[in-house]
Amino acid sequence: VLLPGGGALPAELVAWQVATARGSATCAFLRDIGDRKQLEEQQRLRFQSETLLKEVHHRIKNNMQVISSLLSIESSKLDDERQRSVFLECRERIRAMSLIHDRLYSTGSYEQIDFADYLREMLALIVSSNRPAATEVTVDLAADHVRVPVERAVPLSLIASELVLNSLKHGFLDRDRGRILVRLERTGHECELFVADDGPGPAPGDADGRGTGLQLIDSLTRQIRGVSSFATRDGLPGVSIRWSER
Amino acid sequence: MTTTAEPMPGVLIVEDEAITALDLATELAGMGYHVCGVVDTPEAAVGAAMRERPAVVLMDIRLANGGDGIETAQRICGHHDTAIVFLTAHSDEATLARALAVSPFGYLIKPFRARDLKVAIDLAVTKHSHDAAAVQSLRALAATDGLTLE
Repeated sequence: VLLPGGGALPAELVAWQVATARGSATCAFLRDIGDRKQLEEQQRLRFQSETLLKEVHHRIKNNMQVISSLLSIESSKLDDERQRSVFLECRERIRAMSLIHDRLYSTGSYEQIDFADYLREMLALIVSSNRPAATEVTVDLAADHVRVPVERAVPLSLIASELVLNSLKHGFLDRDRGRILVRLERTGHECELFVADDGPGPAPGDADGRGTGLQLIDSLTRQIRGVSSFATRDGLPGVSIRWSER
Repeated sequence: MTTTAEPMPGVLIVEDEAITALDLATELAGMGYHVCGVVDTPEAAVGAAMRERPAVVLMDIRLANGGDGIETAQRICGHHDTAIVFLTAHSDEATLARALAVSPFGYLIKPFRARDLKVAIDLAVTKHSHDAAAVQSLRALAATDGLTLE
């Protein structure tokens, strides 16, 4: 419908013929459907951007697979077990990051993730494939619901996986069984991640490996404006990471 | 391993990302499997499956030329009795449900780990040969008693 002052209005016209005693008449409704059109357009755009986001996350995961494969191919040329394990560790870190995109992609919430869910899944994946073959590792996880915005989710995931990998690498040497304690707590806007194991701690010769891990953790903690410290929970010495949700 | 061991089961790799495919082929060969083909389109996958008759098909879900791995798996299973293991970056419910309809023997999420890959392929080979053996004995039974349904 064209408006007198120029411009147009989307409209819907419904008309029909009615037979009356004095011949037939035409009955018509003209309805302004501007609001409906606008709503349809909004829905279309939302669907479009969701499809696009899904596509992006899918490609990110595919690219992470390619990076991981490149590391794998390169590492197969190495004879030294220690050098190979460096590549393997890098691949585990890529996996930890990739799992964030997995959560974002499969839950359809693209702005934040539930870090408790993430931890549960990450622990299941990382512990089963990185524990020493002869050690039965129990994971003791208690986690509050902590929503983490996407820009913090990746550094936090790397911190968490680094701490857990450290425990698996150093905590359970020559033991039949061991325990990893993971706590995620929120008090108001303050959040804390705590990771410990019941192992004897690093042997003197392990200082190198633990050093790099701690360096990564320190840098990543600064990135999320957090504080890392040594702490004790349930009688187990471990590492605590605190940050604010704000 | 004895010298009279049966030939290692064949694995067909259907993956459109070249480097991922190369990594998979290297890993599988290292595990002692016979990689009987590396292809990246539905047509090539169906062709290679009919020609090589692999024990396991390791199938990406999104293939080159807009191909769909789940449909391709369906086509392959129509021609040849093989175990499908999906390997994909997709992990949403809808894709998983669609994939489950093909009764795959495994479902791996990218980035995969060598250890998980090995477990999935080993399991697929074992379960598949058990299933095949069960079908064989059912057939034998059907032939003798004329009652058992295949």
